[in-house]
Amino acid sequence: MRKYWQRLVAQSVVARLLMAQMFVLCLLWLLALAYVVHDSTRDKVTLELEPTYQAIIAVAENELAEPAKMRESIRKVELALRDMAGVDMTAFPGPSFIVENSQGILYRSVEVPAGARAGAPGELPLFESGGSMWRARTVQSPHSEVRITGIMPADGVNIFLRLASRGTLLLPLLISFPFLILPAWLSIRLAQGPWTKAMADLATRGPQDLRPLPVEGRPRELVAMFNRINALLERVRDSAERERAFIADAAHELRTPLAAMRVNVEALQQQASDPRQQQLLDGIVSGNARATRLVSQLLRLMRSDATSGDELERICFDGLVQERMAALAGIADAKGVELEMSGDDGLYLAGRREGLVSLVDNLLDNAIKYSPERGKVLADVRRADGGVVLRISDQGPGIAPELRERVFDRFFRDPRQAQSHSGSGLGLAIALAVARQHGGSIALDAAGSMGLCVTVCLPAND
Amino acid sequence: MLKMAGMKILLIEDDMDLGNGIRIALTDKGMDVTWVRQLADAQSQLEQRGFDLLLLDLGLPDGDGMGLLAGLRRKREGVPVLILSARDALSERLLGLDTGADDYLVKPFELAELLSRVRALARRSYGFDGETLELRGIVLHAPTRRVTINGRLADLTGSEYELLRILMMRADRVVTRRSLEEQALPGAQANASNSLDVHMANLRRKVGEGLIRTVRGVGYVIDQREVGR
Repeated sequence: MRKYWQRLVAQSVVARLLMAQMFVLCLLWLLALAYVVHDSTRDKVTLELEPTYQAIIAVAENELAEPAKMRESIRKVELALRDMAGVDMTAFPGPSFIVENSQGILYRSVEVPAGARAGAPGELPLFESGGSMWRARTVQSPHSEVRITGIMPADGVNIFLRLASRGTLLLPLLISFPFLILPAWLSIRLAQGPWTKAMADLATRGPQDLRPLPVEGRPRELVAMFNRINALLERVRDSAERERAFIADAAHELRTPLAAMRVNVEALQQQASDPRQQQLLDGIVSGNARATRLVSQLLRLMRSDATSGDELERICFDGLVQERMAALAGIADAKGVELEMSGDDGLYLAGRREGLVSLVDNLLDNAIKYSPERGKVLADVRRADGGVVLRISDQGPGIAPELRERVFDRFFRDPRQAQSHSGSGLGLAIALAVARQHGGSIALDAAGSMGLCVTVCLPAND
Repeated sequence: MLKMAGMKILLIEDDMDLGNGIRIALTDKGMDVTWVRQLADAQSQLEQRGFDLLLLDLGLPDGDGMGLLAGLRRKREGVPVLILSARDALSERLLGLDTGADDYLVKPFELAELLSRVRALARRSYGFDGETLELRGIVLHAPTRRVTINGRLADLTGSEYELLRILMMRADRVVTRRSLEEQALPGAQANASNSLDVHMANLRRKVGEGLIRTVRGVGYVIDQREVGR
């Protein structure tokens, strides 16, 4: 119950407001009812209805000689009285009477609760019977010994139910409820307008957009919230900035010694004549190349995270792929791999050039690396519904279907290829990170009978 | 082919190991290398004598190399500058080139790459500027826009000449279709892909098959030496 309630109010502010409104409404109503009920416990109306008592006393005195007739008469008076008060004795107890004189009881209503007793005249004793509270009032006839005791239920619940049965108090509440709730709901919806608009504005922001939220033209309540959010965004931006600075420092620190090692070894290689020395130096060069690649891949990956908040620019994607293929043509040439590009022209997207360059470079680099000699690497860039699709296929060994998810993990390498080809194990992780930042995706497939086809889908910006 | 021997190079690099390595490697190739480790020393060297090429590191102990470069360009000194830097961000590279560097090489680099860039800049600095470009029997004389093939004058249209010039300038590197279209065929913007193919076919017919290699869909390249396949 409590859980359900919490879910209800937590789900929607509108529901919460409506609930609050209903709650307050009901509370006020209940207070009003409580007052009425409280007032009724002293039911002066019936108990202090002096003429009733006098009428019953008169009947009792006049027909003292014929007790049967007297009881019938009193009974009729009693029923008339109840009918007037609107009490149905089968459901709710109403007033009942005991008439007695010094000889004993002259009349006793069948509904008189057990344990009822007469008090001294003028008192209003409370007693309990059958789980309910009752109140009695005794009046002494001024002319004879006849005493009459009226007994009324004094139980709040009884009185409340009695009132409810008349429909006098609850019915208006039930009828007016829809009229109260509908305007409340409508006015809340109207007041919610600025929120809805703010949400729509927020929804159009990219996942990496850390620019402050504009507060002009927003209502006061929202401005306060937006200012808080802006302060948070600023802290996030600051930390991203620090991270970037750290990466730039790390890059400088790692790259210069690597460059120094490389140049020195290569200078030494030019002088060394002994083939065994050459072999050893080759080992240093290739180790250096691996370390260099790992460092630059790591930095690319870090940077692709750090620059994710940068502004997007409009980029001609097919032009970029063409450029990168031209740039990597040398590597392909050295391996005897043929590059080819096909597809559509003028495909624009909103992106970050640097990230896209590392994406394309990594995929092309992999394709060239795993291609057999005289193999062909084909890049195809095409418009597809709402996006741009880049397919890079090679004629290499491909990747087993069960590994096609795992190769995107950082530092994971296909165990079959790890011995024959060196690599950082970060290339696809970088490509995936970049694709995701651009709201795109990457999938691996077999390219025909052999080879791998990498499909990158990116949203277009025409 | 241009000789790099005797080329006067000013190397501005603060890292001991790297600076010394580059100095020895280039000296081995017969170049005349002066190595300084601070901007102030570089300034005084530049005032004392002329250089054919500057190799400039950016993060130096007494300031940023970019300042030196900007100063040089303000004084309209046309000495070629090759930036050697660990800063590999695209924005940094563009800033370097915009400030007036002729090339930008990111550390770490292969010695062969450094030599090839130095060679390219040397070609531009006194091999080509207002002079001739020569490659596999083709001689391109820029001031007169004359092209001879094995001594015989070739009759090229303006666009064909531009295409050949760009490819020869950037020999050994694939030039993308897009940049060829933009530089050599500025009129034909849309549907230019076809017009580039037509011009290229004509040019090939005139300079001989086998000189210009196609990378299908990507661009074209002229190899310094004929590739054997």
